[in-house]
Amino acid sequence: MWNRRDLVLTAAGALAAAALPLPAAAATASNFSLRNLAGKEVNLTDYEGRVVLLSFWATWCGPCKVEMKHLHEYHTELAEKGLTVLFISIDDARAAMAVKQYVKKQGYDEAQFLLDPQSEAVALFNAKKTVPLSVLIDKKREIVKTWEGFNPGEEVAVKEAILAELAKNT
Amino acid sequence: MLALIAWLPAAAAEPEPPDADAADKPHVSTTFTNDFELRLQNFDPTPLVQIGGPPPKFVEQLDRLTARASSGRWAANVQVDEVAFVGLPYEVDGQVVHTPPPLILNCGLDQCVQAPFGEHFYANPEKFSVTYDTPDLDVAVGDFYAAFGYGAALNLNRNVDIDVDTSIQGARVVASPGPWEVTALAGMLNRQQVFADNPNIGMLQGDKRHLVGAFRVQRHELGPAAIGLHGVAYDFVDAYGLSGAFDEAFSRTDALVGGGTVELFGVGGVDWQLEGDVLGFPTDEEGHSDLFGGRAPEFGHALYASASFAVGPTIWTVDAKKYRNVNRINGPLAAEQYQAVVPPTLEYERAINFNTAAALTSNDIAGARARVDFALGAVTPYVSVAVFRDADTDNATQHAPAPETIGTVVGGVEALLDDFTVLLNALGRLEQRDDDFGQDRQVYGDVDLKFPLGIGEAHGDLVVSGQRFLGGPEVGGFASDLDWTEASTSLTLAPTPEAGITGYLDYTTNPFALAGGNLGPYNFGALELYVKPSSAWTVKAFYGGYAAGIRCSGGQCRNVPAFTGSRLAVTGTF
Repeated sequence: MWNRRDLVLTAAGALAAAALPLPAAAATASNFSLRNLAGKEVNLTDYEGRVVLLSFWATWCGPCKVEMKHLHEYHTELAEKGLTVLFISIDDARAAMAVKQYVKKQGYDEAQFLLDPQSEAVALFNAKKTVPLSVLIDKKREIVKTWEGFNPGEEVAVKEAILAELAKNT
Repeated sequence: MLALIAWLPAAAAEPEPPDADAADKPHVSTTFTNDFELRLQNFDPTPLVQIGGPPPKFVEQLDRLTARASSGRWAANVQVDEVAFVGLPYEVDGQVVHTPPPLILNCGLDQCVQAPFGEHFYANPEKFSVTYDTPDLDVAVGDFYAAFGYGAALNLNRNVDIDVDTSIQGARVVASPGPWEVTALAGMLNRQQVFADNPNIGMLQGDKRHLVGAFRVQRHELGPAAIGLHGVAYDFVDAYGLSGAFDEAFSRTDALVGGGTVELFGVGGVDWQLEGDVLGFPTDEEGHSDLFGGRAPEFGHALYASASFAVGPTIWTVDAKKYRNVNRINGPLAAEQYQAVVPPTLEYERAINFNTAAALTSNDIAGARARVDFALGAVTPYVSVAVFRDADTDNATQHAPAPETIGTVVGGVEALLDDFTVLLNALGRLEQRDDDFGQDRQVYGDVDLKFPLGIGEAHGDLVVSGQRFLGGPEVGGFASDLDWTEASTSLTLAPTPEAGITGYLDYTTNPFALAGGNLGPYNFGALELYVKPSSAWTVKAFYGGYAAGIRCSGGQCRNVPAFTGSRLAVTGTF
């Protein structure tokens, strides 16, 4: 039987474990192969030497749509400087046309929007399947930073991190 | 499948292409995510829970750890879930006791899970997998998800919105020579045992490890087309646990689906998506008669077509569907609250509720929808009109004593301005039954408004949704559904992007919301503070309550238990 002391100790221990900062080891971004809305195969390795931002979203996710507007602007503005933003929908297979419809009406670049009906990239970068979630990958294909959720104003920090990576020589 | 597996060693032994994925990344990379949650629950008098006589207050502690290690082409993933109940002191007949509630409730003779750590604690490696990935060949052993076509043959995935996570535990091989893609998979369905976002009282139950085997061939980039053929076999098991699956591994097949898909990109300025499936149920009379309520099995079919095109500033999407006996595949899975087959509904899914479940559960439905979006820059209004004919009258979940015609009109607007965001949707729905059995009516609306507070970078976020359901008059001895109203409001005030406070107010008279509110018979309220100490970490503290009920999302519905109390959650990636 648990008493209050056990409870407090358990809670404190679990909290500490949850927040424990492990030794920082840069994680390599594993390759994936998905199809974009134009039906073309897209591999992460296609963007070797570029800074890549993966943005996981869904058609039913309001904050995703707000964040997407900013991220698509960054993609357009910074593509020549070496940035690629790939938007990966976590919508399930039956929502493929809804994804296409949304991208069309917003006038976004269909080539940057990928479908992941079998959670392949989700399993690699977003195991919890949280949306929105963004993953910044540097030119050496190592994961630099992850943003979970989105609140207005956070796009500023995302852009600063992107610019910092673009400024690096390697 | 066997042929592919036999080909695997040969393919792996071939000289590898100069792919940066393997050779220059020899070291082991690891990533972790962790969700930790403490819930101090003030017991809610939900009838389901009263059966076991649980205490009025207790703590539920949860942890979900996912870990991934990769090196070159190899990767291993594991997800470990843990839940514990801790009783707080309370008095019974003058004596102080601490008994926590059980994880296992309503446990029938044959469906109990083994509880190796007692009935108040459970830890389980819910998902694990090892994968090998080359440009032409992917192999996964362990847990994986699968979806063929547009969901009518196979659609198993994690649905975070309603806390449903069923994977296939087995093996999958995907070979991709050139524009071809060949997929073969076989395994057992693996339902999650620990629920991450909802109370776990009595939720731990035995798992029927239904069997699935599937095969698909796709040809991409065939001019402007991609075509595919697929076949799926289901074997529904009767007994719980792994032994049940192995006992039936080579028994008769209960359902077979064969079909094809065609996707056309920009043909005549139109994007097309098409799927056709035939379903067979080779079950004899002594088999799983629940698929057809004891009647002789019938063939089924699923036909889905969608076309999208632009005309000036308007984006049009026209969809049509015709499904017969498709949902019968989900029948044996109902007790475990997930679905293996989820085709497009063509309805506005946030408005689907238990009373309008024909969109999800009908075994004989056909209809079409037309939607037009007006691309006017940052502001994009839309209108959608749909008509369906539901001829299924023997499905108890639909409350339909006669065939019915369903009409739905949805309109809305999305405005993504510099500082303001407005996402608005409104719906009207009518289900007109034949033979003077009356009609159901529903109106629904939701709005999400994000706005600056005028002080630095402070923002507000107001989310309101509500619906009114009218079950119609009682006619011809048919007990019509009750009328009910639901409304939900949340207001977030965030002084910085990294912190904020949210207030929730809910109101419901829905008879399927089984518990009374913490602010009154029909009212629920809560406050939540959140802080993001870094980009990948969030800490949330919640106090208040929310209602039980049936929630639908992503084409699936599940019972969500009520909660009243406080909650502390820490989530992060590291």
